[in-house]
Amino acid sequence: MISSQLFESPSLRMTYIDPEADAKVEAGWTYDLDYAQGLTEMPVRPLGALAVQKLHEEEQKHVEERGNQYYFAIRLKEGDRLAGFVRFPQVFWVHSSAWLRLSIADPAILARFGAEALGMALRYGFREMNLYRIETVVPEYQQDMIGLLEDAGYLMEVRRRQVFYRNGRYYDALHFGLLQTEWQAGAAVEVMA
Amino acid sequence: MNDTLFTGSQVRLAVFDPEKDAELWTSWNRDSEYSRLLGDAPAYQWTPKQIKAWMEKEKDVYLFVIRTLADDRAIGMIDLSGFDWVARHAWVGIGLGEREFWGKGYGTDAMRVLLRYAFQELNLNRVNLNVFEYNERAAKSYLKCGFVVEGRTRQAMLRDGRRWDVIFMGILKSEWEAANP
Repeated sequence: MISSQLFESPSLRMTYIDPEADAKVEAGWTYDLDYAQGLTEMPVRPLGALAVQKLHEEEQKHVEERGNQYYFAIRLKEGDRLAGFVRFPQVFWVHSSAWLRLSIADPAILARFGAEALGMALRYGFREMNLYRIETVVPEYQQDMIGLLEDAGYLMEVRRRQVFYRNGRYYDALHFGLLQTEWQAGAAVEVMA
Repeated sequence: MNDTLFTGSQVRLAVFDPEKDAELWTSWNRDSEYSRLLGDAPAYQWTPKQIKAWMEKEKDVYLFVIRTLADDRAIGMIDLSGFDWVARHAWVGIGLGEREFWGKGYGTDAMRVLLRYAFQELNLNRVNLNVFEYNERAAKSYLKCGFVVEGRTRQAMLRDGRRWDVIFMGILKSEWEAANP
């Protein structure tokens, strides 16, 4: 077990974030407000490369100072291309639980590699961070992401009504939870490196 | 001065003054049961100076002291935080540090005053909260104020040797208006 590679799956790698280089790519994704939603606490808007770089640098500062946040880039092995990000923005060590957010802007990449990326993130959370529980919050309009979470064994636990405002109407926030015991039971979820 | 907006039937909400009220906060924290009902971080003995610094830093927390109408005694706190001004919602937290006032309607009254402020003045569309499974007294009070249970995150807390669910509740402006014509 200890020899299995945590940061590698058949098609992907989980790496550090290069604040400057990755921000140039990610900034282009933020015109999709689905993607930009929640990147900052301000009202959602597209961000320039410098603003995204600053966000990454702040995240890395928090990683160093707080010890309860973890951020990764997801890259396609083929061409070493940035595919998205895995974020653990809050780990509650006292309760062995954490929030997890997977961000992949391109729907085609999400469809093809989303399960693999999520599997790698969950393996890191359960096998390396020793979490008992992982929670992911998704707006109800992100159907692709919801499908991925359900396939990974997550259970929808909470539906907070009218939490997101997009495209002229309200949408609910769905809280999905996955326990380590459930993750282990779903053998298909395991990503072999 | 017209302060009826912040006055209920048993309590009023007063501005939290970091200079004077940080000491009050530390005195409530001596009661670990209070701390464990209020938060999911380990109960801790913060200094008044740390609390004062936190209050001065957190500009986006709308924090009030709950004072009794009978003798103006400070018995607890209530706050709105985590504002989303696009979707127009925020999180509410409440705690009664003086335990002789538990279970007598003071918290419910304070929450009702706060909801009126949130919906009528701040124009929020929704107020969120969560409550730990073992805090049945608070859960009952929230239901009385019109909050609706929207789900529970399973075994999200580990405390005192076992796991507990965290219950999420919300109230929409439309629901509050229907109950407060």
